[in-house]
Amino acid sequence: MWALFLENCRYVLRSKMVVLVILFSTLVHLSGLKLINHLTVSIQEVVTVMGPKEAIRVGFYIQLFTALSIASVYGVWMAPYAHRGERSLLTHVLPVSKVYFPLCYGLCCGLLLIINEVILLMSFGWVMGFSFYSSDIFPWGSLIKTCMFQTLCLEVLMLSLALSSLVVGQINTVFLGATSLFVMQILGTFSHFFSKDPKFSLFTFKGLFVFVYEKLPPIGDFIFDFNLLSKGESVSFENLGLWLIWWLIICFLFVIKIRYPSNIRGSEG
Amino acid sequence: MNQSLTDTVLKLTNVSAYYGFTKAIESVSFELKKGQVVGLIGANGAGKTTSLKVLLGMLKPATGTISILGMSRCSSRLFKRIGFAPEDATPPEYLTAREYLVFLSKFRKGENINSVQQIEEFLTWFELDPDKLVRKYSKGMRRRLILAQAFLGKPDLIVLDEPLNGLDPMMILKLRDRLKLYQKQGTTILYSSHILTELEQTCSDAVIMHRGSVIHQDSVENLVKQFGSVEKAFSAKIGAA
Repeated sequence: MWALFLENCRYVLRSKMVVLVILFSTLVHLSGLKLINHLTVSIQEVVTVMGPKEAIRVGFYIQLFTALSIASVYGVWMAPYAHRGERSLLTHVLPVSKVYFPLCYGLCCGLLLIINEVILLMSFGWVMGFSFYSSDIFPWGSLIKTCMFQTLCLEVLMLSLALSSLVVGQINTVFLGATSLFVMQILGTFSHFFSKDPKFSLFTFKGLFVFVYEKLPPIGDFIFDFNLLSKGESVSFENLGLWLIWWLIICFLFVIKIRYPSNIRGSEG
Repeated sequence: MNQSLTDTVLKLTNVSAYYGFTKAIESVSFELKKGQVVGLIGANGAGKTTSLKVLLGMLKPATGTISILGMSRCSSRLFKRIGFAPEDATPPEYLTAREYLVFLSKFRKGENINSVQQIEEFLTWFELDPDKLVRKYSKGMRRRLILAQAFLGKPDLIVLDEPLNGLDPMMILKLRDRLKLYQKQGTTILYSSHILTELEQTCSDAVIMHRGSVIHQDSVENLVKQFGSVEKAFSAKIGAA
């Protein structure tokens, strides 16, 4: 597995993914934080000056955008590389257990996400001064918790995109993935409203909807949970467990898919 | 123990496989013994590549049984003992030839094989530029690299799918010599091709496939004795089928 992991790291390096991640992430984080810090907002004659506390919250969301982009690119294009077309035949006969492949891709994607998170951290220092790290308002706890939670969710997303890429092709996956994220967000919002209904019962349409929705990956709850964590609050273990279960399910499906490479979609689209 | 049974390296019995709802091969049965070089002959679409994919576990057989090197299923342990050169595959393009062979040698280390020495020997023998990225290789060089990786680690069974595609005449002659050398050392080789003259010179046995089924299996010597050449034997058998 170590050799396979190193080989994947070499692919990430040689494809210039690391350089692109560093450039993209630095540009987005620095410009975003610089723009937000000391920004003056005037709404209905109420003037608010955004300080470091607000900049941190915004930084979390900027970081989420870059991390989502990195996981998507890795999932759609990089993870399926060895399993597409005729190359999949060479990968298939490698004397290594198929289980190691999703684990290696997860580790590689995790490394890229860590680079992104380190850049966020450095950007806070560059924009607000490095002494900011030791100040009382710097939220070390929520930063670490948010990054860990987000990494787990993005690992599920990355592997789902990689699996979809092998089944329906890369271009279809981009549109299918974007549509699914959008639909799941809407369903998540509905689910929140439905479950708060005082007349809520499992044996109604709304009840059935919530019951099914709660078994799916909690993509619709992701922003709610992310927001809670970024504020220093905690998220339900139920959602965390669900993400973990879905990671295991997607890993299993990925292994099943690469087990018979002759059925894998070879062409683009 | 029965000697003929212990010598069986590969055995397919009544194997059928589908691509979706399309039947690709039907009741395919053949057997390879240790040290045999068997040519899998057939026209385009006869089921040669599908048979190879099924026996290497890349396609699930609908019916039948497959036994390779005494094991019933393709596993990572089994792949340590098999070398495979697919027809059109491209090795990872971000690697050089040396890096690719070094990567594979980490998994396929055979007993008493000095992988570093073997890699350098292969790079010279297959006339590969060791430090050039595969991305910059010509089609012929990529083909030679695919063949080199199949021979790496001294496997017990080598499966070659249309190995001559894209090779120059000198390399074809060299490959023929290498196959004969490996056969003498007891390696079993399954060789799928539609270049029948080459098969006649390289293989000890031939399996003729037509429309997804095996229609004849015999030694090359017998086919030549009976029909004059493998080419004529193939025409006669296809005509009769």
